[in-house]
Formats: sequence, structure tokens, C-alpha cells
Amino acid sequence: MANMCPYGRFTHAVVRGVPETFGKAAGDDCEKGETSVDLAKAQRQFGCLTGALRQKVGLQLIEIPADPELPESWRIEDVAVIQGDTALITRPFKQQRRGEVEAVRKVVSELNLTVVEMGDSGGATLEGCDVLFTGREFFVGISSHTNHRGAEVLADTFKDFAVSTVPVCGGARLRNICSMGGPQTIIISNSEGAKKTLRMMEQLTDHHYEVLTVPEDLAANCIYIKGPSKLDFLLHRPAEECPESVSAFQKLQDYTLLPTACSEASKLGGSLSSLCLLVNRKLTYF
Amino acid sequence: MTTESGADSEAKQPRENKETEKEKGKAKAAAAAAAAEPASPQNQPEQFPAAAGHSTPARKEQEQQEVDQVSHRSSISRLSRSPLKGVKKTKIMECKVALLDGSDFTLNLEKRARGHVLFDKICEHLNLLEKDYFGITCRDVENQKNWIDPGKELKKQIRTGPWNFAFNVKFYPPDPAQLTEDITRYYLCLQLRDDVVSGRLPCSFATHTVLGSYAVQSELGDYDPEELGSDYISELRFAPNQTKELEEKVMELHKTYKGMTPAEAEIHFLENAKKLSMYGVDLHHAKDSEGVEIMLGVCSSGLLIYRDRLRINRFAWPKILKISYKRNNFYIKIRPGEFEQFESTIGFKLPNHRAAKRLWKVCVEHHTFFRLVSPESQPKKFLSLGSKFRYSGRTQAQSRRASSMINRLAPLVERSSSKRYNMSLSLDGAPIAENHETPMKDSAAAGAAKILTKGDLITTVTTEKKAEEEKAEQEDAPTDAAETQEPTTPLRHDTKTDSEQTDFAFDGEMTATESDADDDSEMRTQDTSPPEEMLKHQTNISELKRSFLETGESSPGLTEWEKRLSSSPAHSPRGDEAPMIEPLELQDTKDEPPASEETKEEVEPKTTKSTLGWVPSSEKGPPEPEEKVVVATETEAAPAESTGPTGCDVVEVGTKEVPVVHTETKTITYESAEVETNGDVDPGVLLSAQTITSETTSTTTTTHITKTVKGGISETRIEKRIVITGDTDIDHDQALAQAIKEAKEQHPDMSVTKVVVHKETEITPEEGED
Repeated sequence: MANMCPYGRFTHAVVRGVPETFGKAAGDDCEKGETSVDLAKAQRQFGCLTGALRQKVGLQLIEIPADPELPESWRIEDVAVIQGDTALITRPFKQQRRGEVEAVRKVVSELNLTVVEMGDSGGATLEGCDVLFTGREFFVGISSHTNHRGAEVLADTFKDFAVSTVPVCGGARLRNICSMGGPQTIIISNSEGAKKTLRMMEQLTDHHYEVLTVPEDLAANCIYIKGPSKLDFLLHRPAEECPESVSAFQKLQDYTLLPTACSEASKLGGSLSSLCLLVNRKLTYF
Repeated sequence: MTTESGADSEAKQPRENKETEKEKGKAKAAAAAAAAEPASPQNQPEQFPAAAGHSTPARKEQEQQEVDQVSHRSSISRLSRSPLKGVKKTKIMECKVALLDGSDFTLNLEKRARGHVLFDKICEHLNLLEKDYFGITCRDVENQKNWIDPGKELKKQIRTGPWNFAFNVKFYPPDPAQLTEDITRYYLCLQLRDDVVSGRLPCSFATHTVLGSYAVQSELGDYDPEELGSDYISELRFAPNQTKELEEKVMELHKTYKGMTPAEAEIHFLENAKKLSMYGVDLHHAKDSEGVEIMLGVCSSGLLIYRDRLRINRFAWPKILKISYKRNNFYIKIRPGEFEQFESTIGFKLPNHRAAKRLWKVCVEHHTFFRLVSPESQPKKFLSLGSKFRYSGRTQAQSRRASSMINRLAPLVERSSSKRYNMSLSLDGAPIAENHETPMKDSAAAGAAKILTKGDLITTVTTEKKAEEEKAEQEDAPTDAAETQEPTTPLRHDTKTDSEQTDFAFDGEMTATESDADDDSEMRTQDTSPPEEMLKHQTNISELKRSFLETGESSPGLTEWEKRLSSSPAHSPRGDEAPMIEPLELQDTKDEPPASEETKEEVEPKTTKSTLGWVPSSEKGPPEPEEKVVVATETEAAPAESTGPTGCDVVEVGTKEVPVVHTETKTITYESAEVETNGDVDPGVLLSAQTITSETTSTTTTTHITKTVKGGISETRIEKRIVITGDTDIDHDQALAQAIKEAKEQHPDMSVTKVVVHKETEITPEEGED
């Protein structure tokens, strides 16, 4: 069915510009401490990413203008989980981020997606960076920002799929330690915490995946897209940022590798996938 | 026939009855015809209300007359015995079976009939050969669905209330495309449609539309506004909460399927349905050790644990060493994980004892069906600490083999155009649904004929016969189909030990422990398998254990997650260091090797048993010489063979082709004494006989293959008659030895029963004068 295509077919990407308030998150976000971010560099990197998605991969790009009122709105991945023709508008953990959903909701409805609201049902919180969709099932990382109730709402939204909850350790987010590297490939970091998560995933799944382990945490977050041209693209962190992991990506055969810098977003806990929502509007039935 | 008697004919009954008396013979003859044209369903609804009135569970013998009437009127039920004749001592019960298309099938059975009788009759009615995926359910006092045990008497499984059953899919094939017949897929589709509509199989809106559209195509054919009308779609159910929007989407898709046959539509339906995460998952309410409400889901791959729709754990069958229940507790013993040395046992609390037992049974059956090559043998009596319950049907592997042998024209499946508006209510019926049931059924049945059989002959094919067909195939491909002849065996086991089984099964507080024969070596020891098999088996287990323990590195600090993990072992042992694509080595795949070992293990004991066979020269077991050590092919000396037991007639004829009238004939027969000792055994029913003759210059080999069925066991007996002819120039001993050797190589099981040396010597005048 529409919902059951192999992972990676996308036609659109939704992104949101980097505001000048980038890195100036509200006071309660002290965990990051004194991180000095280079706004211009961040915007440049954002431009490279969107350029790659549009020109190299061939996706249609929808860019929501940056909003200085919402300093974290560039992390658009968090505010919606999109699968097939359905978009779940999430409820981010931080109160001040909840305003980010409005613009996104508008865009996804314009894309004719069925919009489902997580709302405030039973204190559910969930952020997209704790959700890994593999094409066949969902894994939800129960983290500091995503709770069991949030996962439940996700399960109710995407009824076709198994939704399994997995642990994420050390304050990380699920997508910080793993991502899809192909229709049946999971890229995962080699850290102890990631291994623990992976073990749980192995236990819970009915399916078979191949695992590409990368030595650096940062490298585990990639964007895999089978573009309109049917080529396999992998956007990954460049050698400057993850020197030890680049060779691992070489092992993916017949892939077009697109090294994409993301150092500034990374300083704030984001990564490549944080910056975009991927949508497939060419749902094929079989 | 009496089938025209509608509900309105109530008043005419007495007269009608007389008429029917006259028509007895006719009706009986028609019953046979009815078998070929199962249950002319048009008649069914009309009869049903009337018949239902009589369906009191405790029927008196005096009511026989009435019974006759009923059974006669619902003559759609093809009784194995005439209702008018042989009912003197046997009580007849009316069984009402809710079929998957929403119609009811009513039939009468002897009160003492076992589950399989009913099941076979239903399958016959449905013209279903791949029946192993299906079963009969019955609701208990708590309105819980229970599977009818085919080996046990129905009356012991029903206890109270009318004999109402439902025909359902029991084992959902993970890959429905592998089913052999379209008709099987059709019934699977019907089940899934009900699963979807009732909400047991949750799916998204998009999936509802896709499944709905294929269901429409399968049931109504091409979109045709003129014929179907504009509102045709709202007469069908696709979803628990069906909306106009959904119906429109379904119709939109339906329009695009022009030309798709019903069978194709069903394949598409199943291809989509099988991917749903809850496909074939049988859910049971439970609580974990901390009292948290969870659901336990039993499926083809193992046991799934859910908490509010979220999957929180999963135990694949290979990881589960033992399943047991005690009172309302259900336990699984888990193979030690990567970081553990000891097995762990996880307990769950079920609402009550019956629920625990039900879950346990379903687990045992699913494990056997999907994981084993053949069912485990019944435990021996002296071991019977717990329930003797075993799944006694065919496993999926056996079923697949058997169905690959199905050799009939695809039966014509007439998809019922019944309006399944309320189907979910009727099948999943909460008690309230009872009210909806009757009217619905009328309309449903008003619908139409269900299944028309094309090949009348085929409808009468019985299991044993099927097994025979398979065997016939086996002759051609002896390496294949190790356990195709199996199907009959377990049934028989079951029947034999039934009463004890029942006793134990119903023994309320008894600890019923089931252990996986393929996993639990302790239990295994008690099995009949020969020691070598045991050893092989244990090696596998220890190998596995070793491999699991290899990467022994203990993890610090147990969190809630780790508890999940620690109770859930078997992680792939591998060095994660090298960054490269590594197969995840999921447990399932890892355990494949032992699984294939199982094949042998399962095959071997049976063959061993078969050699104990009472009939000489028989190959009771699978004729698989390859599987065995070729025994003593070197014992070729004819005299030695002659004392051996049975099997191969070697006739050695030495002649001198001389045109002389005078010959002396001398015949020496070496015959095994064992041949006759078994004479008292039931000779069984001869199913087929076949003679193949091959000739070389000096030898003629006649192979005579007979197949018989006795007591549910089918047996193939191959007799070879080798005649060596030649004059004295030929070394007869040599030729004989050679012939025996060749025969032995082909059939190591073979034994020589008779050696006849027949000498014709030309009588020379001199000799004559002596």
C-alpha cells in the first residue's frame, strides 16, 4: 500500500530558515552553556543543505521563512512526523517551541497531507528527533523530551506500523545516534549508549536490517533519499567534521555521497536531519 | 428435496414429513449430490430459523422423530449417516457454524463426535483443501473464543449452551502468496476483512481504502455504475468507523481496477494486509510482574508484548525455551542472552486460569505450526506431569508440502455477494450482537450461492487420500516430501490418547508445562528419538549457547530498559569495531541452522519407527533412502540374504535354451519365516497398486507398489521381484548378489523375503537312463 514503500522515496523537503536569534535560545536552555555559534556560517551551511536537496537530489523544496521569535524553529524535524499521507503535528517538550508548529501545520496541509494533532492529550510530548521510521516500523526513543504518552499518540496515528519504544542514553536523542542509510540499513554510532539502543531495536523488530556502525556519534545522523532519479543519495557529515567515519560511507555501494557540513547546528544539538522534513507526495499503490 | 420448506411452511410439517418419509431414499441419494454442491446456500436461510428452534443442547432420544425432521429439513447438512436410519443409540446434535462470509452452516453431528469431524465437514462444505490454517472456535461462558481441539469430543469442549461455532483462520500465513489455492486465499481474505472491520486489525485510513477497494473488486468485480448503482459501496463494510470519505476513496480506487480478477484482487488485498503490524497477532490481556496492564500478542514469529499499542518487548520463538502456566500465571523461560549465563523466566498474570491456559495453548500451537517441521510426538504416559496437550495438526511446513501436491483444477470460487454490512457483529459477536445476528443472516443468505464445486470428485477427497496423492508424488521425487505422509499420523495419535489428554487438560489446577522439544534438551531425552539425534541436537544447542556467550561483557547499571533486554537474550555476537555493513544477525536467522537440523531429527525417528513396521518390505516412513546410512550394502551373499526378513523376491532361473523336450526342474526356495507372522494384522484398505517392469538382458525387475491405509496410517509397500534368467554361463550367484545390492541401494529399508533358485536342466538320455 501507499504506506508500505521501501524507505527513502521522497518528493518534497520542508525546511525553515535559520533566524538571527540562532543559538540564543531562551534562558532555560542552559545545558548548552556558552556555545558560541557563527550565525553566518550556520546560514551558509543551511544553504548548502537545501541546495543539495534541491539540485543534487532533485526534491522540491518548501522553505518556511525564518522567524526570529522562534530561535529553534530551524529544527523543523521536531515538530512533525510525516509518513505516507499523514502528518502528525507533535507537541514539543519546551513550551516556547510549541509555537513552531503553526507554520508547519499550514505547509503540510497545503501539501494535502492528513494532519493529525498530538495536542495536549495526557501530557504527551514528542519530538521528531526521537523518532526513527524505517519504512516498516517506528522506533520512538523515550528521552528527556519524548514520553510514553507521546509515543502512544504516534502509534494511534500510524496504525499500520509497529511502534516500539527504545531507550536513549546519556541525554541524547534517538536521531543523534542513528538514522536510516538505505531502505534496509540503519546507520548507528558506536557509543555504548547507541549499542544499548540498537540491542533493544534488534530485539523488538520483526524485520531485518543491516547496520552500518560509525565511530563518531555525529556521523550517525545522515539523510538518505532515493531521489526522483531513483539514485541513492546520502547526505552525511564531511570529513572535516567526522574524519574517522567517512570511510564507512564509502562502503555503501552505488551511492551518491553528499558531504554536507552542519557544524553550527551541531553545536546546538541539531544535525542534518533536524533541518528538514521529508515528504513523499507520489504515493504508489500496488 | 425438502429444502423448499420455508419458515412459512411450519403448518404443513406433518404432511410434509410423510412426504419426506417417502422421499427418504431419494433424499439420501441426494445427500451425496449435495456433497458435491455443498449446502445449496440459497436454502440455508429459510431453514435456519426453523431449525434453530430445535437446537436444544440436550436432546432426548425420544425426540428422534423431531430430530429426523430437523436434520432432514436442513438437509444441507450432509450427515455421514442417514438421519433416518442409524440413530438408534446416538444422540444427534445440531451444530451451527458461522462461516467467514457471514452465512451459517448448519449440520447435525453425533453428540460424541470429535472436533475434526465437524472441521472436516465444514472444509468439505467450503471445498477447502488447505485447511491447516483454519480452525473452529467456540465461545465459552465468558464469551471468550476458544479453539476446538480436533482430537477431542465436541461435547467436552462445549459444556453448556447451544452448539454454535465459528469457522476462522487460526494461523495467518506470513506470506499468503505461498498458499496454493485461490480458494484458500479467498477465505483468508474474508477473515481479514472481518478482522479489519472489527478493529482487531488496526489500519490507517489509507490502508482502509486500499484494502476496501480490493475487497470490492474481489466481491463485485469491475466498477460498473449501471449495474452496481451509485450507492453500492455503502452496503459494504471496510472499517470500524466507516465514513463517506472512505467510501468515496474506495470507489475511486475501485474504478482503476478494471479487468482485475477476484483472485488477483485477493492477492493484492493480502499483500497489503500481511504487512500490517498486527496481522495475525492474537492478543491476550495480561499484567506484567509489576501489575501493569499489557497485552500479549501471539504470532507466527513469537510473542509480542504491548503496553497501550506500543510494542515494549518481543520474544522470538527461538528465544523461548519453555512456556508454561500455573493457575492464572503464564510463564516463559528465556534463553540466556549475550550477557547472561542463566535462563530467565518471565511471568505474566492473566485474568483467570482459563485465560492463562488459552494463551498457553495458542502459544504451543503457534510455535509448533510455524517453527517445527512436524508436530512433536505425544509425551509418554509415565512422564505426564502436566497437560498432554500438543498441537496435533500439520505444521506449516507440512501443510505447504501437502498443498504443493494438490492436484485439482482450481475450484470455482463464487465470491458471495452477501452484504456483509454487519459481519463483524456476527462474527465477533458480543452478546448484544445476537440481536443483530438473525436479521442480518437472512439478508446475508438471501444473497446467494457461495461455492460451486467444479470437480465433484475432488470434494470427496479425504485427508488420507490426499496423503496418498502426495505419496504417489513421492515415488517420483523420493528426496522431497519427507513428512507428507505425516498428516494422518498425528491425528491417530490424538485419537488414541484422547481420553487421558482430556482428563489432564481439564484438570484445573494441574501445572501444565509444555516444553519445546526442539529447545529443551531435558525433555528431549524423554523422546523416542535415537541417541545420535539427541547428541546432534544437544550440540546445536550448546553451539548456540556458546555463540551467545562469546561476547561476554557485562553491562553496567540495570535500567528499566536493561531489564527488558536482560530478559531478552540472544544478541548477535559480533565485533562492532570495524565500521562496515554488518548483517544484524537477528535471532531468527541465527537459529536457522538448528531449524534445518530439526528437519532431520523429525524425519529420522519416524523412519526408525517405520522399520518396526509389521509388514515386510514396506516403507512406512518416508521413502527417503538418502536420509539414512546405507546399511550393509555389502551383505550380498545370497544365502545370507535368504534368511533375512522379507522384501525382495529373487528368482534365479537357469535355463539352457535347448530345443529338447525333456527337462528336469528343480526349485529351491529360501523364504523368510517372518513373512507370515504378521498375517493377523489388519490388511488395511488398498488405495493403489502399480507395477513397473524393467528388463536388461539377463534380469527382469518387477516393482510392485501398493499403497494401503490402515488405522489412519498410510503405507507404501514396494515389492521387487527380480528374475535373473540365463544359462549356466552366467554366474548366478554374482548376478543375484548384484541385483540385491542394487535393490538395496535404492531402498535401504528393503529386506529379502524369498530367494528361489529354479534350475531347469536338460535331461540327457544318459541321465534319463540313470
